[in-house]
Amino acid sequence: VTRASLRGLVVAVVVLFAGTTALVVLLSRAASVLASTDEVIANRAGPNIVALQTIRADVQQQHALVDEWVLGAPGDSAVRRARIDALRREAAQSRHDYLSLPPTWFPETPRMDALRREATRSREEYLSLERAPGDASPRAALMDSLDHFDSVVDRFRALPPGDGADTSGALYELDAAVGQVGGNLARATDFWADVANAASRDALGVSRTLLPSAILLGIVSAAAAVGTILLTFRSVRQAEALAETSRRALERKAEELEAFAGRVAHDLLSPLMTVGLGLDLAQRRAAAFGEPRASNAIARASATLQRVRAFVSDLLEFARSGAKPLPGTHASVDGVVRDVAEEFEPIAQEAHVELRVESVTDRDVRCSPGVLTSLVSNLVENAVKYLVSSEMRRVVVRALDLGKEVRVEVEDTGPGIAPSDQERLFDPFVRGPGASAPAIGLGLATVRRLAEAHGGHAGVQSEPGHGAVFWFSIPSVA
Amino acid sequence: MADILVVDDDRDLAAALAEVLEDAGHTVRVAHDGWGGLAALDERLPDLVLLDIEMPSLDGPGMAHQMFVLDVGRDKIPILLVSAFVGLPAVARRIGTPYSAPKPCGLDRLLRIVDRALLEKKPPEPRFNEPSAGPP
Repeated sequence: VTRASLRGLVVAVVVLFAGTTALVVLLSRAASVLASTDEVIANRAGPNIVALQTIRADVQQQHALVDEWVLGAPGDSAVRRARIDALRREAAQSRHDYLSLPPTWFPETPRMDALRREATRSREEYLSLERAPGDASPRAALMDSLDHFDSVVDRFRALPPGDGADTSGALYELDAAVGQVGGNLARATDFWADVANAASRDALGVSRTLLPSAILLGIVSAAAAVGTILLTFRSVRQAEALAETSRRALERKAEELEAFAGRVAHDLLSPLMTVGLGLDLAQRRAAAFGEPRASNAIARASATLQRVRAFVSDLLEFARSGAKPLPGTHASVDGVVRDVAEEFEPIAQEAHVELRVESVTDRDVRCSPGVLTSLVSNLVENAVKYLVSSEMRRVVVRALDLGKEVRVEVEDTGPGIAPSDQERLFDPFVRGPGASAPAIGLGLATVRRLAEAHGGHAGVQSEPGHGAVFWFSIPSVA
Repeated sequence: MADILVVDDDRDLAAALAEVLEDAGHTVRVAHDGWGGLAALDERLPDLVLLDIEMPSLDGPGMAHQMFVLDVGRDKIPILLVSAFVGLPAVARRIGTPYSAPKPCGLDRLLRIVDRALLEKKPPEPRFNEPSAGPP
């Protein structure tokens, strides 16, 4: 089940990644097309069209001014209409008649000069704009027609002031020039309008083809994302369930092991007592009947039996050490530490070890006095036992109040422990280097199991050659 | 010297205890479960009962209970609990006896406790309502 859901998870993540990537590629392509369209319209077609419109306006203004010169001011509409009417009436007559009307010849040369300057500026501006392939021919035609228009206007300006100048030919020519300019302007404007249209069509095409794909990809990616979340959730749940199952199995195993070890140890103790009583009785009788050789043999057997008893006691204690404490149990650290120190004093003296108790907190801890006694005496016994080969022999016991827990430390002046051995020492059936005292290596394992079963920890700090500090911690009573 | 009843389902240990106690000058009878022990009490009342905890059919606490309930005379006999049972101190408290010896226990220590019990003769003061720490 887990493998299948993992496979599903991988597929969903791959789809999500591919979908998102494709979506990003599509969107960036659309964005680049839109950007180039924008560039064509905004930077090229747009300004060109605007410039052409300016030129058209310039030409129209000049044309209007010339018309004004010839036909009268626009404000003088009655006069102008009368002249136009007269023109129409006298259409049959030669234009000479019409043009022989009283002249007011070129009264506004400064205004024409200004218009010219503006026109020159707009042309220069148009010529400075970005070009496009195919733009050269309409542009050249427009410039030619503008030059021609200028020369026609110049001809008007060159006419001598005074009445009766013949302007009819020039007016026709001006109209023709304006018409030419208009046509060329239209061609140039059309060219740029076509460019803008084409770009817009491209953009539209791109968005029409890309949009459905983008929507589809978005849906696929969203589905993959939802799938990923669901599958991840399911996998986490499965992993949790698996961990819980394995934790329960481990707990059950530990309980079975404890029950088994406890049963075995217990069933060994009764027969051991029978043997012990038998040996003690035999020892007494051998002594009473004066049989020293038998007495020696019995003494050896008794010593061996003592060791076996110690082993079985260790096993029994280890088997029991994983049990959780009953709620409400507590023990006085001060009382237990001093009791243990007192109990070990004769043994320490015998081994020439100075056993000292330092700074003991008056807090209570959450375990039974028996458990605390077992913890402290295991560490003190170890320390005294392994000091035998050292020159300086001192063991210091202290209990520190760390707030939420009490830490009991047993410091010795022994040979210390190599870092590689420090963790291993707390495994069952592991004995310290050069250990000679009778034991099966359960002391520290029991300490750690007891401490952890009560919500605490156990460990060692040591540098080879500088002694060791074995410690355990137990939660304190609030 | 005293009259002592040893009740233990481990026959070898019961025999060894009997021999040790007889060697110390006491009169000893042996039973191998609670019912056997009660039958021996019917015969005559001893000065001290050495009682195992875990036994088949009727266990140590069960026999102590019967001694207390059935006959007024039997509840005055001091009981020395001899057992490897983990909760020995708790069972001793429940039965109300100040005398107990954890297995294994050496000869000298055992005789010291027996002598003390015979000297003090404190009868059990059972507290059957205390939470059970003994076997079912």
